[in-house]
Amino acid sequence: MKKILAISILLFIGLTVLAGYLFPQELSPILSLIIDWGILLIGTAVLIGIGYLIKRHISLISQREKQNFLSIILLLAFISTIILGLIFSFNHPVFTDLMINVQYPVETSLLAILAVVLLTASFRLISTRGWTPMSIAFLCSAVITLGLDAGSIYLGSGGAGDVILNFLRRLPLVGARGILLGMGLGGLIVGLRVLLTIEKPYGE
Amino acid sequence: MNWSILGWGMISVAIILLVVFTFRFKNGKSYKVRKNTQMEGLNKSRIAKIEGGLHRTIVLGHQLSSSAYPGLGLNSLAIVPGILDPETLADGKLNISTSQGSLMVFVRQIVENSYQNGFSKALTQRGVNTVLPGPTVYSNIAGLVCELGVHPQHGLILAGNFGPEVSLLSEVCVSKNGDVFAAAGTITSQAALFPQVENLVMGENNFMLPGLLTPSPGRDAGWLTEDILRILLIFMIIAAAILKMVGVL
Repeated sequence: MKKILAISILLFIGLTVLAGYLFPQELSPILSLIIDWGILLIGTAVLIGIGYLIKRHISLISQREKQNFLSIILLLAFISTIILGLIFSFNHPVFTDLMINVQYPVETSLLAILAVVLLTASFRLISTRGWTPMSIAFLCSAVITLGLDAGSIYLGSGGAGDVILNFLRRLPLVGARGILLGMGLGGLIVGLRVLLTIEKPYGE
Repeated sequence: MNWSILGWGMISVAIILLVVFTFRFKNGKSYKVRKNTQMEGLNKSRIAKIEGGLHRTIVLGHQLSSSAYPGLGLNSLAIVPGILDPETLADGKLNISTSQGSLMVFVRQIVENSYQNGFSKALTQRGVNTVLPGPTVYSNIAGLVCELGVHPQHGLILAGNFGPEVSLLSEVCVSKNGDVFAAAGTITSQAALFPQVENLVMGENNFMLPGLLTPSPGRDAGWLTEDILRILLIFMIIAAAILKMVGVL
């Protein structure tokens, strides 16, 4: 009975949203209501997720695991952010300063590490994958794109040189479009499988 | 004919094909899918990790749904039941993590259902941990990097909607002698993971994974429909290019 109810709700909501693309004027009030409910549910899910996060770190502290110290820092930061968020609003200068001076630098430092990691991984490409057509194509395209973006590749203005450069510049876009078309088709089929209840990712 | 009608035409064809093939495959017929070497790598790694009593982590990406990549989040959820075999549910070494609350709630439900299918409805499983290391992309990565660093020889599965930052996870895992399997659907994550990860599933092959892990008539029908639509799309692109060349379009 529980499963039938879930499937019925899924079918009703899914088909209504789909029909909303065909009849946007007629279904706009019900669509906005469904979207509002969706946003509310997603917000609640975030709270549940944060609850799991806190529970996990409390259990790590109680079990005296190796990352005990980091869990204590996380919990302290979490509690202080909540208190500050309750005292000041999200747009308050104190809160904004905290975001700019703490969170953004931390995220930027991760990005800096990422740049180094990607560079070293590219150097190790051949040892990881060997001399395969894919790895050679990847290396060549990386080198050519770097050269093009840095302005190091110059084949003369006008004539065949321009045509070749334009072709090289458009080549990554063509590849990306190919992958996106495939992903779009895959996404369409997954969505339809869920809508037709052939697939039930919310619980088999 | 405009783009909207063309889109609806594709959706209608897909629905009809899906329904027809699902009924056809339910009557004993099946669709032979292409060989996937990355899947073989994943199976070997999973067996080795379970037998060795080592930690495994599945990371389900940062988004359930996005306008650029719709369906990736749902697809990552569809992979989970295939990985939750009885050994996994019992040994307590599997973590499933994500940075989005809604994905987290769905995963929890899948885990509970899988457990109750095999055992009793009165029991709550404790073998699989569903964790949210951080509610944002970077806090999630930072939390996971810490987790992967503590448990060496990790088995890491990356499935879903990621950005290039996912390569930090694979780097830490590989540096600690772990195995990485990636079905990260976005172009940026695929490009970032390509130099690091041997078992990397690319493009639309991401959507084949749930069926490869747990085959079913509906998933077989999905593959065949996708293949037919792909061929149809290729012919449409070629026809449009020819028509444009001769000046009709």
